Amino acid sequence: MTPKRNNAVLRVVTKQIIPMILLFALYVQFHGEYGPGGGFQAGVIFAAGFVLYALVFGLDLASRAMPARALFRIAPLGVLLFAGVGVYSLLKGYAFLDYTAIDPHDPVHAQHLGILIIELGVGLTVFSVLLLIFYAFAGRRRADSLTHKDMG
Amino acid sequence: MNLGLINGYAAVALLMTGLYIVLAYDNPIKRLIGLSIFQAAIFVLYISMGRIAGGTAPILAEGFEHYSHPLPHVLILTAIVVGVAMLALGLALIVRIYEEYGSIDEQHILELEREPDA
Amino acid sequence: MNSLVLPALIPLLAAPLIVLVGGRKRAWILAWIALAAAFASVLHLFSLGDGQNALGGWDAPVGITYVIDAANRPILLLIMLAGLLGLLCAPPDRLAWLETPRPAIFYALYCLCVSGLAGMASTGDAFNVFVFLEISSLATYALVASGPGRKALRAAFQYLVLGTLGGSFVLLGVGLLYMATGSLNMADIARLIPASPLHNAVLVGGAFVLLGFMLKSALFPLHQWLPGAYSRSPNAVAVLLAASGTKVSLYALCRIMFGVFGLSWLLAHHVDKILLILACAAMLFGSLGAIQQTRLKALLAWSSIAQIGYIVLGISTLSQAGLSAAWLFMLFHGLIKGGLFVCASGLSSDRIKNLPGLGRRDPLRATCMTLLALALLGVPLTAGFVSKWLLLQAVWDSGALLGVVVFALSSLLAVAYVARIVLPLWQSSDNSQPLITPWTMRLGMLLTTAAALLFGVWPGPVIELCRQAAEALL
Repeated sequence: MTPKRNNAVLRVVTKQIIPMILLFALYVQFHGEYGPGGGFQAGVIFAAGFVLYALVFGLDLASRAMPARALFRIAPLGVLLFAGVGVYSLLKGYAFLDYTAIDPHDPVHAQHLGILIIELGVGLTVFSVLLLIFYAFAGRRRADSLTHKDMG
Repeated sequence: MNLGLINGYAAVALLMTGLYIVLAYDNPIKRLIGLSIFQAAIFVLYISMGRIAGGTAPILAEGFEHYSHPLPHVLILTAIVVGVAMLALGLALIVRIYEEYGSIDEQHILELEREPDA
Repeated sequence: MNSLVLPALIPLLAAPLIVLVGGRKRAWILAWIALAAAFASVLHLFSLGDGQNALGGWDAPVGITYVIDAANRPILLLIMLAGLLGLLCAPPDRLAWLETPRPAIFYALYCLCVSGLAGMASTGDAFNVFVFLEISSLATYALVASGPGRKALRAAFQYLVLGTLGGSFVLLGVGLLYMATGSLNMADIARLIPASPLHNAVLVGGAFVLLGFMLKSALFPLHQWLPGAYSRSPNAVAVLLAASGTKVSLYALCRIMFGVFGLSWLLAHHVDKILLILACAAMLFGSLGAIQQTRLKALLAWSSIAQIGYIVLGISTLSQAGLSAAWLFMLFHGLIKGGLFVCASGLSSDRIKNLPGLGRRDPLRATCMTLLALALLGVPLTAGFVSKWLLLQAVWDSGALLGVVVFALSSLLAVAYVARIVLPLWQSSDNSQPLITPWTMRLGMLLTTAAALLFGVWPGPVIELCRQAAEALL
């Protein structure tokens, strides 16, 4: 992918707008229990920030900011965070994903905390998986210049 | 025609369009587009079903008594994620097919396949 | 009753762990541990008895429930055994041909697939069935695509298109049922259907759900994806799919038919006759298709299409004897076909014309393959005979003469295709170079063959399990 390095307007505007996108994603993430939002949406918006960066500044810079190796770690961690809450409640003798297990004395507080952790897991996984999909497609070179080892 | 059912008619039209594209075309990318239209039709059906006349978005706020049923929305969020995963996997497969055969044209590939494989 | 979620949960947890840990050997060992633990949890379920578990403490019909009863315990057992058997065929050193630079992903997807199948078998929520169906399907598409050769990619794409259509049909049907009843819990939908004012929504919804599961279980004429998916995928995946993939969809089909709609609805809408005709067509065309194949795995795959016909024939009687025969057929066919796919793994070429001489090159493999093929045919003293005999009895008692005639015809055709793979094994040929088979695969062949013979003479406990399953469904 050829980065549009020479377009000053694009670069300046992008630099201004990316922090706002990421901040908005965090708002959607952590406000999801009160308003519209949640992990899915936040993950997508967060990933969109990086996709925009990659589109304007090139894939190399983007994957230096957020390497695919790291994403390969974050994605399973998010799933484990989600499932971990469920396993924790199972071990505590409650039903799978029964948030009451987190704080049995204050079930309402436990529900808040439970959904926050769960949504964080969802957000991390959605963000990393979407960005990985983008990297996988955008990083593909033309078939004729590929050796067999590059694939997969 | 009952205008209240217009989403239903739209969903059926989209369903038929999507299914036709999936079955009638050889080009794998077009077939994926057909699948996506097919799934989008189902999403429309689900979301329309949750609507309540005069209802607002399902967010608790003062002064609003009626709100749409949120459950179909949540179900469809799940189905959309499944659809995204399917689309990404399908496109990835097409890229790999192109790399292996140098073509995604079904007829061309069938000609290549005539050669016996090991 | 919280342990009801374990068969689906343990492999689901294992998948991200495997990706995190990485490495070829470690991933394989982790997958082993996970599937063995899931297997142990299924055995534990047998001691627990029937039960329900409400996820997150939200009781039915609001929350998602997991329902374990006599009907799905044997299916869960089959899934876990198939998963372990498949892993025997994918030792880490034989993954060299896998084109992925991250072999751990292969094992993670494998665990995800098992988890999806187990979830489909244990959930009592109609939408949850769709979610688990897609989890297992998406994992399967990727697994099939990692098979050797470029044809695996096209087989995977074909499977992806048809499989997604099947999944979407299920989604559409569940939506219409939800529209008609306002519930997603299967037992609750069953309770609300008679009172629903939207008869047509129930009818169309039911038709779409059944159609979707028929597509996923490769019932003729919706079988086009199966030969490619089975014969082009990696060995381990072929074993897992052949032994349990379609059976779980058939189980879901039965669960929806009997658990949601009930006998009178099915009879009123002639579901039994439709299934009978499709089953007969599947038995005939599956066997005819198998005879024409030139590759061993493709022949076995076409034979599976015919065998799915047998199972559906049992279901189409809508009787207890027929259902218990169908359950027995699923279990025994899973065992036999899984074993046959293990025997077909690791050959340098799976063309039938290259089979001659195998009896000398690898006597153990050829012996197991012969015995399992005979069991597939239904020769007395093998497990295949027991299941075929009970099925024939049930169909005879139900008075479906068409079914009996096609049953006999298809079994005759089966002799032809079994002979095509068994006879060449023992012919001599120039190639007498011994074939090296890893010990794990030898173990898999031996165990399945031994089980197929053991259950041929001592089928009592399994028949009892299947009788209880049919009782629980009806």
